[in-house]
This record gives sequence, C-alpha cells and structure tokens, in this order.
Amino acid sequence: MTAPVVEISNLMKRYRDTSALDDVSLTLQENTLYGLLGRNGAGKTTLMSILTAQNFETSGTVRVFGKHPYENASVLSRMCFIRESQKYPDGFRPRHAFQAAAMFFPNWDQQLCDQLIHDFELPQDRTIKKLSRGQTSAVGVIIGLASRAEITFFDEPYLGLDAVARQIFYDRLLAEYSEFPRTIVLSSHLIDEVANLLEHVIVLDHGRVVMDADADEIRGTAFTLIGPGALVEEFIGGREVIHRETIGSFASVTVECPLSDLERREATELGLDVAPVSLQQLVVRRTAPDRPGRQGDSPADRMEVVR
Amino acid sequence: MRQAINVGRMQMLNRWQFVGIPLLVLSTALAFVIVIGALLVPGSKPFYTGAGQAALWCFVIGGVQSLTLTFPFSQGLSITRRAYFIGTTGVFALLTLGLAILFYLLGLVENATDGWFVHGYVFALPWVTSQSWYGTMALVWAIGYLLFISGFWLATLYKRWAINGALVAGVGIALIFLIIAAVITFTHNWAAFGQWAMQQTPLSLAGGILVAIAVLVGVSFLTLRRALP
Repeated sequence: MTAPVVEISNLMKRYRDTSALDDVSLTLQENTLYGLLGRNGAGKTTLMSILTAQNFETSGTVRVFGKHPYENASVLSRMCFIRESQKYPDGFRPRHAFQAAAMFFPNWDQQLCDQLIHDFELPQDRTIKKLSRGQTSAVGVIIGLASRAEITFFDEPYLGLDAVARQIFYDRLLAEYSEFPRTIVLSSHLIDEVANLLEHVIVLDHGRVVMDADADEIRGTAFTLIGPGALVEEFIGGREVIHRETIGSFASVTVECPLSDLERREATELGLDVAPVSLQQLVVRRTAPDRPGRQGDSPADRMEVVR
Repeated sequence: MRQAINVGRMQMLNRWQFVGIPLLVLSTALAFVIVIGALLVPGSKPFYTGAGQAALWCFVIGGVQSLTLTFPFSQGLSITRRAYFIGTTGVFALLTLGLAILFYLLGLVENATDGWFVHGYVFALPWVTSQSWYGTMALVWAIGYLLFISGFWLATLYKRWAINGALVAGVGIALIFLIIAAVITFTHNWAAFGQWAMQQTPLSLAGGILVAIAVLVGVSFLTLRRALP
C-alpha cells in the first residue's frame, strides 16, 4: 500500500510578469518512479526546487511528508535534489563532494558510491570545475543514487553523458529502485529513452499540469489513424484530435481516446491503419505550440476549443 | 546542531582554500619584510609594517567564497539555510581566532628575536600590543571576522538581489557614515571625537567592532533566509 509523500495544491510561482507554475496540484506516492516531463522552461526545475525549499512558492500549499519543507531539517534530510546546473565549491574534487554528501544523507551508501565512480570512470584527481559536462552530470547522478534518500529528484541527469553512461544510469537506477524502493522523480525531455522506466507520468507545459497518469493507462489512450482523409474524419467523429496532418487526400490524425477491439477491427475493415502513439509523441502533441486550441486558458478549455 | 557542525566540516574539506592560502599570504608578507629589513633598512632602529594585514584581507575573499558556491551546494545536500549559516559563520569564527592566536604568538617571537634579527616588526605593533595579550587577540580576531562577515554579506546580497542588492547596501552604508560625519561637523565635535578616538584601547576598539559584527551577522542571516541557490 502506498502513502502520499508529497501533496501540492493550487501551487503558483510567479516571477515579475510570467508565471513559472500555474495552479499546480499533484500528489506523489511513496516508492513510485515518476517521470516529470515537459519542454525547457515548462517549470520542472522550479517545481522540484520548491519541493526541496530551494525556491519559494508565491501561493498554494506544499506538503512533503506532511510538513512544509522550508527550514525543516527532518523533512529536507529525507530528500535529495542535485540540479542539472548544480554548483560545487571552488577547488572541490569529486571525492570532496561525496565526502560532504556522506555527512548529510543518513542512508548514504559509500560502497555504491565507489562502485558508481568506477562504472562512470569518473576521474578523481581533477577539480569538478575541470570535469567535462558528462562527468559533472555523473557526480550529480552518483550523489543522487548513493544518497538513497526517500525522495530523490534527478534533474535532466543525462546531460553530456554518452550512450553507455546513460545506460549505466538507467540500469543502476532500476536496480537500486527495486532493491531499495523510494520515490524517484526523473525530470527529462528525452522521453523515449526513459518511457519504459516510468510508472507514473506528469507532464508540465507552461507551468501547468497537462498530464498526470499512470504510465500503463497512458499507453493505450491515444492512437494514430492513417488513411484516406474522408474515411479518417468519418471514423473519428467527435473524438478529441490532438494532431492532424494531411498529405494530398491522405490524412494522419492522432486521437486521444482508447479504442475498443471492435472499433479497431472496424477501422481495419475500412482500410485505415491504426498505429500506437509513443509517450514521446503524445507529450509532443500535447505541448507543441501548433497544437489546435493552444490559445485556450486551461487544459479543459483547450478541449472545448477542439470539440 | 549536528548539521551545523557538519557544515563547518564541509567548509574545511578543502583546507587549502581557507587555511593554506591565508598562511601562505602571511608567510610571504613576513618573508618580504625580512628581506627588506636585511637588505634595505640600515641601522638598528626598529621599523614597523602593516604587512600582517594581508592575511586578514584573505578573509574577505573567504567570506565571498564560502557563500557563492558552497551555499548552492549545501542546498543540493538538503541542508537548512539556518544550519548552513551557523556552520559557516561558526567555522570562520574559529579560523579567525586561530589567526589571532598565531598573530599573538608570532608577536612574541618577534619581540624575542628583535624583529626577526632585522628589526622588522609585523605582529608586535606598538599600539596593538600595548594593553594585554587578550586585547591584542580580541582586536585581530575582530578585524578578521569583520572582514569575513562583510565579504559574506556582500556575496549574500549579490545572490539574493544581484548587483542591485550590493549597490543599495553599499550606498546605504556610505550614507550612514556620511550622516555621522555631518552630525559631528554641525555640532562642532571633531575635536571631541579626536580626543575620544585617542583614548581607545585595542580592547575597546575590538568591542566596537564586535557591535558592527553582531549587526552584520544579523542582517546576513536575514538576507540569506530567502536567498536562492
């Protein structure tokens, strides 16, 4: 049985003339692997910063382990959030950063840390400032994994990591997660790469939650119909269209709405191709600027416009 | 408390930064004085220099550096701003105390060797050592810590409000001094002020600086409370 570890309601974060987070309400359960997806500037880092009291909400309620995290050592020490552009003290070598992390995270696992240093081939004799982008990311990833914090945030952890290192990260993350379950929030815009890891997906767009659902639910929710334009339109009827492309008399329309076996057979009989939609495509369709009804004020409004 | 102590340990993980460099500066300054005394200053009359202050100035940089990059890092390690503040200001109180003790001890050596055998005085300065051993140490500590907390506050202001914060604070402090000077001028009290200043001892000056330190520690904490990493 899972219990909520994070509860946010009506969270707003405003900067002078823009809102970074706009009426965000979310609940994160313990021991779940979340994907926090969205474009650059969608508000992912701001959200994680507020949850770890590194930044402050303008209004709304934030509860982590039932309390507000600001200046709350008993809450903060159970979380780890190494940001994508994390700064490290001048002259610090990786080992200094790990020594410091070991002092502050009660569940720190030094053996795991050493293993990861080896796996990522992280040079230990150089200051962090002189490391490559990928090696700097590796320092953050190692702190995040070895901290074994009850809520661990990974903020675009793969930046600059090569394909091999990224795979090491994903493998280690899953192994760690199954051995020591905790709540993990993986912020990412490389959606296809992480899609299979995720148990729950949250998509932010311009500071708003546009998707908050279990990964399994999402997988069947959308499909693309390809075929002669007229037939496709007829089949779609009143369903919610999230993307439409036409090439000559052919149309490729992505529709968000589960399809029953009967409907699927019907479509095939009409000579239409039914293709599944990957999580990445779905997120792109949901957050792309040319999305129909984009000018609407809230996800609900946008649907109205489409209808 | 445990967290604050760990913050102090974290600040000291790279000892070169805050211990090595001040010591290097101090010994370089001393070496210069000895070389100058041996080669350039003839006769046996003692000469006094302010070269020792070079090490004190390192603490301005220390104050800036202990915040600029270490504060964001401490936030990544889920440390409260309070623990970060207590740990950092605490460990620098000890570091400057170490420097004050060193200053005093080197002053003893200086007197015993008649200015490093070349009549050059860096630490056993006339007025500074005129009172008592604790008067000397208190003054050196107070100056060192004032420089540290000034650098720390400046960096915090910059972190919180960027250049505007630092500018407003700088202008504000300049204004305060200006107003004090104006009040003394208009009340024709410069002579009395001079008299008063002449009567100060190392210990009373240290006490005055301590008040300024207390104010700066307070405003630094208030500035840091809502600062973003």
